[in-house]
Amino acid sequence: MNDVRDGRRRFLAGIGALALGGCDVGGPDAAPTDILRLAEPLTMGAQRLLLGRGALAREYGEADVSPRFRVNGTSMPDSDTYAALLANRFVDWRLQVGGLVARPGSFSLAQLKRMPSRTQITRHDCVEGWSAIAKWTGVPLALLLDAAGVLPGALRGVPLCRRAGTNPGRQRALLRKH
Amino acid sequence: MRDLDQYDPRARPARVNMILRHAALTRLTHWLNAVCFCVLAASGMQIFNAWPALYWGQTGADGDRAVLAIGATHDSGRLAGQLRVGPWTLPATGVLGVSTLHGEPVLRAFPAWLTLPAGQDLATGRRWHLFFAWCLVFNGALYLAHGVVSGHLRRDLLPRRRELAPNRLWHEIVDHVRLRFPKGEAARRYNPLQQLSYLTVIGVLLPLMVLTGLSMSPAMDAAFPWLPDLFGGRQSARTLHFIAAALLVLFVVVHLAMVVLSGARNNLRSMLSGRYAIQEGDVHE
Repeated sequence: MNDVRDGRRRFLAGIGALALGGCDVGGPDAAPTDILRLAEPLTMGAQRLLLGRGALAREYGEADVSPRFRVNGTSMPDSDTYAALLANRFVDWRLQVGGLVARPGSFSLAQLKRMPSRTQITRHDCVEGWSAIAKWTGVPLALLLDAAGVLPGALRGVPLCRRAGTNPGRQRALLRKH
Repeated sequence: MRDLDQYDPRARPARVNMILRHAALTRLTHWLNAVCFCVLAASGMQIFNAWPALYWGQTGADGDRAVLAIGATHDSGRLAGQLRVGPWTLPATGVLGVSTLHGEPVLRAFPAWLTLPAGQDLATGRRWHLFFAWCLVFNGALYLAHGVVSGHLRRDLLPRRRELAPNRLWHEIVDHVRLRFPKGEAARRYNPLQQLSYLTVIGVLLPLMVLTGLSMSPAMDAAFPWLPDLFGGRQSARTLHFIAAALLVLFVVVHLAMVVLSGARNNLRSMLSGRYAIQEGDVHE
């Protein structure tokens, strides 16, 4: 944000700085939040009712892809762990799957790349408010979950990622009951 | 000024007739709506602050041209708040873009004293917003059901055709601008300007708020892909949500001004206890 060149760029940098606050989840005032959370089952119930099991994000064409896709936070964490992973071309990186699954385990990048992949062009709507369309390629989550064996009673998938510095170089996907 | 009449010794004492102006359910839903409006506006500005720029179309982010944005520039080391609307840039330091927090200028689109919660906290702002959005929907459904069943909507809010004639409406507007409000028998009914503005809020702006709000939900967009398209895209829906909110704020400002100017005490009592005083034989025309 230091190499801003003109008014427009500087202005947008201001927006970026304003938006960073939005990344912080949760606040100090938990008491009113407990009451406010009572509306969440209502929202979720209404969505489940309307959504159906097969509804997925709309797919777009190549022409709709946004010229630039915003990188939230940083694209180059400055931790030693990340530097080591990068130097080794992410051979040591693992995606862990745990929680309510029959076979908790982890996947290496090579393993993930050997699995069937799917490419789709979809719009990303950030919780902050902006939207951008991009082309995504990777293993469908359903295949990973099938491999891990989802146990009956698991209702939600929670992707966890750790911030640079606190992450031992692994990402985890956890299945939870509620 | 009209109140002075009561103290004019030459004036005949006017007979005051108390009528039931508002049904109990209208009063209840009115005040619940007022609470919902305040919380939704304040938490809405908190949510806007997380990304204080609006776009047109399906997408909008860093490089895209914003139709409205609140931001700041560094002018020789000092932060200067700016409001950008289309091609225009307006200085806004002190209100928008830059706020003073603990004596230090900080980047903030809407100031802390306007947002809920005060500090930058998107997650909590969304919880406030969605909780009270549900309250607004239930309260609105209750009001509409009662309005249809009791005949309130048709009887009190639907303007009569002859009242909508351009010269009649113009006459009403001139009277309002001169702060000459209906008295006597004419004060029993809402005047056509009231009817039109209430109907616009109930029938256009609030449904628009709900639908554009739902258009911003990725889950709703998956279930009903036509929903954001109805408004020209997901980002257009966000922009229209903001514009409709601004129009609702404008409505509330005018509404409060009219409440005060056309007899604050009488109006407030009619929305609390339902009782509204009408001066008989004092017909203004």
